[in-house]
Amino acid sequence: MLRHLQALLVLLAFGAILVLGTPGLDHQDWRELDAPDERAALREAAAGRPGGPVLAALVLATADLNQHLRQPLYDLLAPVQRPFRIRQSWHLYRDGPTRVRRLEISVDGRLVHRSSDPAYAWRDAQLRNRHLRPILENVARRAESPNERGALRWIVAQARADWPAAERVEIVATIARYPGTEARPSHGWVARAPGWAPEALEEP
Amino acid sequence: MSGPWGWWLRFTERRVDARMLGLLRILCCAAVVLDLLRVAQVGLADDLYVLYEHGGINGHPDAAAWVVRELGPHGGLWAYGATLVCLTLAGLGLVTRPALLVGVLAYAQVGHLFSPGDRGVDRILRTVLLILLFSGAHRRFALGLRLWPQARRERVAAWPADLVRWLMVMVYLSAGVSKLMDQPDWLGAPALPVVYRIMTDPMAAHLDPVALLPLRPLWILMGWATIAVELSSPLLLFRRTARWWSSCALPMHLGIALGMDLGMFSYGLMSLHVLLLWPWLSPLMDRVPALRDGGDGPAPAPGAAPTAAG
Repeated sequence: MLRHLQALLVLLAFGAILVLGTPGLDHQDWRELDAPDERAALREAAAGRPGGPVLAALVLATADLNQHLRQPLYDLLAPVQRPFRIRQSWHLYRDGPTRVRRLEISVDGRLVHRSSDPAYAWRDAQLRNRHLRPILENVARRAESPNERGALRWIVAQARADWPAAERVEIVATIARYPGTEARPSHGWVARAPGWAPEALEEP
Repeated sequence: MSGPWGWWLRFTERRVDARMLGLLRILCCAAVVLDLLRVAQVGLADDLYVLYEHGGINGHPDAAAWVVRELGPHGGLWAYGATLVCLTLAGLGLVTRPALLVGVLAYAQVGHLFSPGDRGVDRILRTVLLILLFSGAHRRFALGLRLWPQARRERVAAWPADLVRWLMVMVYLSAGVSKLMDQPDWLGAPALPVVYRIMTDPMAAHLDPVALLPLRPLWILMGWATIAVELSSPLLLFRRTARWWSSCALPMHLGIALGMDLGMFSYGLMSLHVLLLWPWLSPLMDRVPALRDGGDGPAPAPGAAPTAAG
């Protein structure tokens, strides 16, 4: 009896991992191809291509399976992931940035850090740590990002700790077409003594 | 019993060398512990695991980060410390199962609290550690076997290793399929190949985009090779092909480890390949007496019946 129970539980574990992280479906919208006009548009677009109708039928069947079979099972199983933070969704690799972005940090006008530049490697160990880096990527990408305040405050605090007499810390994001030889500032901030509150640069 | 259920029963009752799961336990725990120790080494723990309003960086924790609500502003640091202690214990093989359970829960809280820094590899390793909780991974290479009179096991249930391999297929296959479905640049031959852009992104990598641009054909080939490896990942389910598939996948992880600053991403995933490379690793370990039969407390009595736990 126990061997049957163990076999059943193992089967459920395999099934749970498959349902929660089905390759290709794990990041699809549940309502994808749900609307009749969407479905009709897909059939129409596929009609003129060789094998198109078969492919369209396959895509629609997959969408239906995802919505009507996988979603109820997913909703049942998903809460188990929460306390362990083990969401089974695995599109891990990005397709790379389309522009070369860097973050530059200057203290009193002297450049001390530039992303991936060994000549300006101040606080590289921290700024490139895998835990902090995603926040800095967002800071480099946009003038307003969720944790911009915390990141800027941290950078300014570190600069003040290393250069106690400093009066100005400037953080500038640059952007360039690949391969990145002609970079221009896209946005930035400056923090000045004595208040040290970062302010957006008007003309970075 | 015959038929599909009989096959499944036999499949789930298979046993494997306990050293394989013991080694996987050690490597996974070491990857996480070293990664978290690196955070402390560079002095970031106080900044990452304390919320913005208390002086840290992140102002947007997940709703599931109860550790701060319950333990106060330094709850995140407690979770960080608990993760380090528990996964060190689990890696050493001391009170392994309770340490794994508490360690994974604490590690999850660290992730909930500082979600920007909690990436796919963290979720993969937490899933693997949870699977190991139900395995016989604590039956070899464990200090607990020396400290408490408990016979080690030579062979333990194979299904946890199979489940980890199944998880690996999901991970690699999803990555491959999503490239085909959502990121068509991977398959084509764009002027700026995707692998080139990823590997020379100054925010995440340290390769020189100017010097490496002329190698465009190589980058395109690497992109195709990446997709081929990922889409062929079901091969790792089969004993005969797993090691060869791993031999193709490991250079990809090594390349990422050497060219990018992704911390334990590569090391964490490579540690799972122990399961795939075992047919090659096992004879190597057999040559070292301590790894073959020593150091783990008393050997099981001849003919001793295996327990349900392995």
